[in-house]
Amino acid sequence: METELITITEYCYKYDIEPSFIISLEDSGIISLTIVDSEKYIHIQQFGELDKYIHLHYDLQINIEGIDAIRHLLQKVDHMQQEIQELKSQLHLHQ
Amino acid sequence: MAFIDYYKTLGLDKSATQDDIKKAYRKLARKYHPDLNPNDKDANKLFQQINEANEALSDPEKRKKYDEYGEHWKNADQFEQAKQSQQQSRNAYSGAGQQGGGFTGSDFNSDDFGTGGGFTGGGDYSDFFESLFGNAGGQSNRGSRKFKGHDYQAEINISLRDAYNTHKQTLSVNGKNIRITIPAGIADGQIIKLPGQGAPGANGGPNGDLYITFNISDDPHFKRLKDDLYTHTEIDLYTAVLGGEAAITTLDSKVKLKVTPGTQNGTKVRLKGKGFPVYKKDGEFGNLFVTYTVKIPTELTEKQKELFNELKNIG
Repeated sequence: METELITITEYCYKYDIEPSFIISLEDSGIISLTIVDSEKYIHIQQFGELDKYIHLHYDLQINIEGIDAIRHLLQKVDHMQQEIQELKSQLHLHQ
Repeated sequence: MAFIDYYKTLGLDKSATQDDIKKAYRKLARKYHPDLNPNDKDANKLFQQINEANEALSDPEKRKKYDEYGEHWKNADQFEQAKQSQQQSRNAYSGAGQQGGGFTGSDFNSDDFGTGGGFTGGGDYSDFFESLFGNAGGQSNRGSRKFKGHDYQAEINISLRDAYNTHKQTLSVNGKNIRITIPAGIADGQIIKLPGQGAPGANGGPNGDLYITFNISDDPHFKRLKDDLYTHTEIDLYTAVLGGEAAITTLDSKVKLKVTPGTQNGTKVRLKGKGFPVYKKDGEFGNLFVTYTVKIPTELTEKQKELFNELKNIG
């Protein structure tokens, strides 16, 4: 379990970003951090998601509120793509 | 790759200011960024082009080189050398008091060095980009911040029968062979992520990831819906009426089905656990649905016709 967690400091050092960005994401409910002995950690499974938010914030200058809105919209897109895929399969079955 | 007009890519003209370039890049990047356009290959390609254009035009020095050499970038060094040597020789001539017509700086233009084949690279980035900025994979301006490399997208086409069994396959991504294990039960359109197999990271950041989309081709005998399989089988009229057995070929075996007397055309039966393997769940399978098609005899003998009529009269 220990190897699957990384401290915010370590993560931010690796990506050269400010820890306040990660804290803001958590404050907005966009990500959840793991607390062990009062220290906040990022789980390795969150890396992909965090990468995306870093891209949006640092490359595209999108603020935290924008990231949250985009996150919701992308979730909708994802559900819709899944639904389309399922409907295509069903349609295919009756063709 | 054909010559790319970076100004055109960003929707600008040559007189654009650095601020115009910055604004145009941000606007287009927000529109085509891969994180905002999941599974959209066209957007991904456009984003790479926008990134490349921005890399070249947002740096005044690089922009100057691009403006100067345009599509003849390959000869830029040669051109510079020739220019310098011409300058030297002109100085030497003038030092000797000679009035040779020779060349002046303006006599040179990039056409003097041939076309050099222009942009012929086969990669996603133009050779100009690679030549000037190395093969960084189109990372955008981020100063010295470490950043993960871009993700790659790939597609694999497999048959339904291939998808039925766990098997290995090798794919080539940007000249690199990657051997992967495809678990049984993979779905059509499913995407698998291979961490670290994407473009190299910037400034020591981690590599991007490789996303593989699986396309499963149709099978002439089976149709699949999630983990269930659907097939048709013909039974003769007499078996349908009187009952009997029907032999079914599944994807991995043959089974015999008991046909109950009075089976109607289009009757569907379910064979539990004879469907498709459930993805990453060993030993779990969906169902196989078999639809009976009752075959009506078309060429009856006189005797058969007589008997059918007799049946009709009785019934």
